[in-house]
Amino acid sequence: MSRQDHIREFAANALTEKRVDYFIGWKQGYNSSEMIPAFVTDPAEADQLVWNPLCHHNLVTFIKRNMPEPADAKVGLCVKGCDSRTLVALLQEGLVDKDRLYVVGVPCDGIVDRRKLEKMFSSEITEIEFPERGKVKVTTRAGETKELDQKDVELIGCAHCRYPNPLYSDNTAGPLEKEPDREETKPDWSALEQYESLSDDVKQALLEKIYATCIRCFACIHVCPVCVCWDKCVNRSRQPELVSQKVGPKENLLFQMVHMFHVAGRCPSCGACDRACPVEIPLGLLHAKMNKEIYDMFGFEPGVKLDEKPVFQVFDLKDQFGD
Amino acid sequence: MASKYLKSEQLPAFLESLAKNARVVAPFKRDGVTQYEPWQSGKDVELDVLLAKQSPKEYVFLQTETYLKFGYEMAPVPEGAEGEDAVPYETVKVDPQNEAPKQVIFGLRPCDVRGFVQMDQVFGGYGGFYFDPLYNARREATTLLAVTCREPRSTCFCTSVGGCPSSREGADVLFTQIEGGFFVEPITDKGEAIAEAAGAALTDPTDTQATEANEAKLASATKVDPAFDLEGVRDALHDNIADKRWADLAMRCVSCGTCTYVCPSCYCFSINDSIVETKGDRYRCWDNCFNPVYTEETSGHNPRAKKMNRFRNRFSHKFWYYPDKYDSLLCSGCGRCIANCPTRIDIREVIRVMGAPKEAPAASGAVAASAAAAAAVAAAADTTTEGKEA
Amino acid sequence: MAEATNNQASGAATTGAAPGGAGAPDRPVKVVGIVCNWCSYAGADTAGVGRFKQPANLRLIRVPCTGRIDPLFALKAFEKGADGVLISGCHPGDCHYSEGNYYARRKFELAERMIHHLGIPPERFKWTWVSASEGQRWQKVVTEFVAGVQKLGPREGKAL
Ligand code: SF4
Ligand code: SF4
Ligand code: SF4
Ligand code: SF4
Repeated sequence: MSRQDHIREFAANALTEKRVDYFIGWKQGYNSSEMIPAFVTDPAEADQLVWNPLCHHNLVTFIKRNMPEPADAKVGLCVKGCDSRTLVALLQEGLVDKDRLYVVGVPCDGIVDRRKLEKMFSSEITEIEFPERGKVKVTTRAGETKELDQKDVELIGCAHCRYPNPLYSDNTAGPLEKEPDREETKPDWSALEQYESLSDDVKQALLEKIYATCIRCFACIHVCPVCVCWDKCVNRSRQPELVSQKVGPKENLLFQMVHMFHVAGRCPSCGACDRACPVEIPLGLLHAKMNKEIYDMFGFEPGVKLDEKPVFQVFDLKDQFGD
Repeated sequence: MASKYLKSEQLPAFLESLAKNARVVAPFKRDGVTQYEPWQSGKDVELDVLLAKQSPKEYVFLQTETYLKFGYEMAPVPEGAEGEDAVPYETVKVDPQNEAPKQVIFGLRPCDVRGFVQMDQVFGGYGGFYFDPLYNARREATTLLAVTCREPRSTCFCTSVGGCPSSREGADVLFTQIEGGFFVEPITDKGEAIAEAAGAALTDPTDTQATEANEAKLASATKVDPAFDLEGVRDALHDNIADKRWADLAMRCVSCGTCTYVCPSCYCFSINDSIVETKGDRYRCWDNCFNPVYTEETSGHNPRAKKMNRFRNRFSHKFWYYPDKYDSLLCSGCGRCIANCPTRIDIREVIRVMGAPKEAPAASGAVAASAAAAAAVAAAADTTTEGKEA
Repeated sequence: MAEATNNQASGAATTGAAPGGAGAPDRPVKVVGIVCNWCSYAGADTAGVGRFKQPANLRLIRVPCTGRIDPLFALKAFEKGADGVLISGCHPGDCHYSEGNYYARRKFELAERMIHHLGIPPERFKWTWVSASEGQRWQKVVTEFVAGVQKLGPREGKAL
């Protein structure tokens, strides 16, 4: 039985037995190159659910505060390894109610970065297939077809994923994926090195260029599963105007820094914000650095242990910061 | 005015000549993302990637526009004043801003142009409503050089909303890519002035080139997939306002606002003051109906408190309230909102479902829509069409 | 350029002089100090009463406790044009509210590291502890910090 079959079966059962009001998984969007979140209420419709390396959406977004409709709905959802860490982060702080959730864990061996693919073709991608495990076949509107290795076109986070298997779930869709040796290997932040080696002035100029293109659409914070006050955001406050509503590189960067600080200790670098940004701002540059420093300061990885408290919610008398 | 021909190699020289009198804006690819940006000598215009990520509306309807600077200062005490008159008091000095430099936007698509045409209604004083001097000054100073789409995307549906990939509506000049260059059709006085100024860069086209351009236009129109039948959509939206399916469709929306900011015709904004010490700016900046606090009132009451209410508003506004008030749709079928939405909410699907009369099966729209597409093609071929709303 | 805040346009047009570099304006630096009411503000007061000479570039903002200080305050100060930001409060163990500064020091440490990540040099951001009785220490901290900022000169930050 494939993982997809497991997901469909779990969803259908949960719906039939009325354990959930609706089940959130992934389904095909307007063509086979786009997967989108699926909300299933009828057990007979569970067979529209799919699982493949295009299922990038972190569905935990849809259970954060003020997202579920109705607010007290009992919700079933699928989580990948990285998604589960955002769920654990919410549970650690009691920001979601465990009793209203039914979680299907989906062990994951990597998600395709559709944007990497887009940049390889001048015509629009209209079809993506997976002829065998590890292979991606892309077809464009102009009729061009190319077969690629999945590893070459995965999201940056996937290459060094430490938690491919969900850390919290009620059921698991199929066998677990092979885990890296977490005792032996430290988290990998080599993607940051190039930026970190730049001089201060070059960093500022680069950030200015990057953040000048932000359009303040707020997709990044709205999709962020651990950004729980998304709909009452300080970044939107006009009176007092804590963060300017003007759109410019400084204001935009300030707004991103606010988001970053507000999810510090909760954000596991799931990458949902990165993928949602319509103008492709590399938001991970801030979040990865934040997680690197948090790991360096506390040896802490967000959203890993259910009974742990996020580092900024507690303190230790023995902390060695400051002079 | 007679049509012209522009060789591909002459394009940089042509843009260079425009840049002498105006700022030139065109689509460029930077780090793999195509966007409208000010043109600089040596940059290659990107015409192969269809549709820049964002519409060019930000060049006319600025995302942040400071329209007033103000400052507090002490009023001078008149000489010889006594008693109360001699008490110094503070006044506010107001300095309105309204800059509208000349600009030419090259390489925008007919749906981008139509975005301006539709937005003109709301800012242009249509029906005795407010005439916005800022917008109109910029609009007046802007010349639109549209390019026929060669390879419409799978998300394009201009033909279903009365447009077409070679529509002349609202454009000052229409360029159509043919063998070795462009077939150039000046449409308005502004367009003719541009063509005249270009001088020798533009040559007279041969008959073959004219035929080729016409064929290219017909070919591209047939590549746009019909999405829905516009007939009856307005009434159906009205009838379906309380329909439960709105909530179902809105489920995967995250209420972000990407769709509105990439859209060529969404025009909502808010107004803010920003003050440092005694000096401040009053500016307007884009806002959108998906912003959870967009309709929040001072009392704390929010008439569109739920995601579903906001979701319903966007589509109903485009296909029902706006047409009612301004006699124009508020969607040009560019498909940007579909391709850029983080969860790919599909406006075509929304209209197919919610814009279908209650009793009729939702799918019937597509059939009639092909008839609409055929009509659009015919309209495109007829180069004299003034481009009136279907 | 019609409007500096038109995002596409400004993004393309400005990648010129280095921040705080050659084109920086010639003016005394502006330093924002964010201090807690109970210790550092009182410490500054002690310094004042003791007539210890202090640089005039510092503008103090008094907050109840370092636990109240959001890293956003420092970033906002930079965004609004501060050349340096100094944060100070009670020594650990002396917090008027017992534990505010224990939470705060975790935040400040992360803030400091992230501020450097943005290309703002370490000399422009400092956080420390000064108690109410340490007038002399306050004088030293402020003088040294402002001198450090002055050495870099006024800031023309491109991003933040
Ligand atoms: S998603 Fe991207 S463009 Fe939108 S607000 Fe976030 S960073 Fe800016
Ligand atoms: S900030 Fe971005 S990476 Fe971090 S949890 Fe939120 S969406 Fe995921
Ligand atoms: S439709 Fe899509 S882009 Fe628009 S608000 Fe909803 S999630 Fe955002
Ligand atoms: S609503 Fe969507 S398809 Fe219509 S004009 Fe706006 S972005 Fe384009």
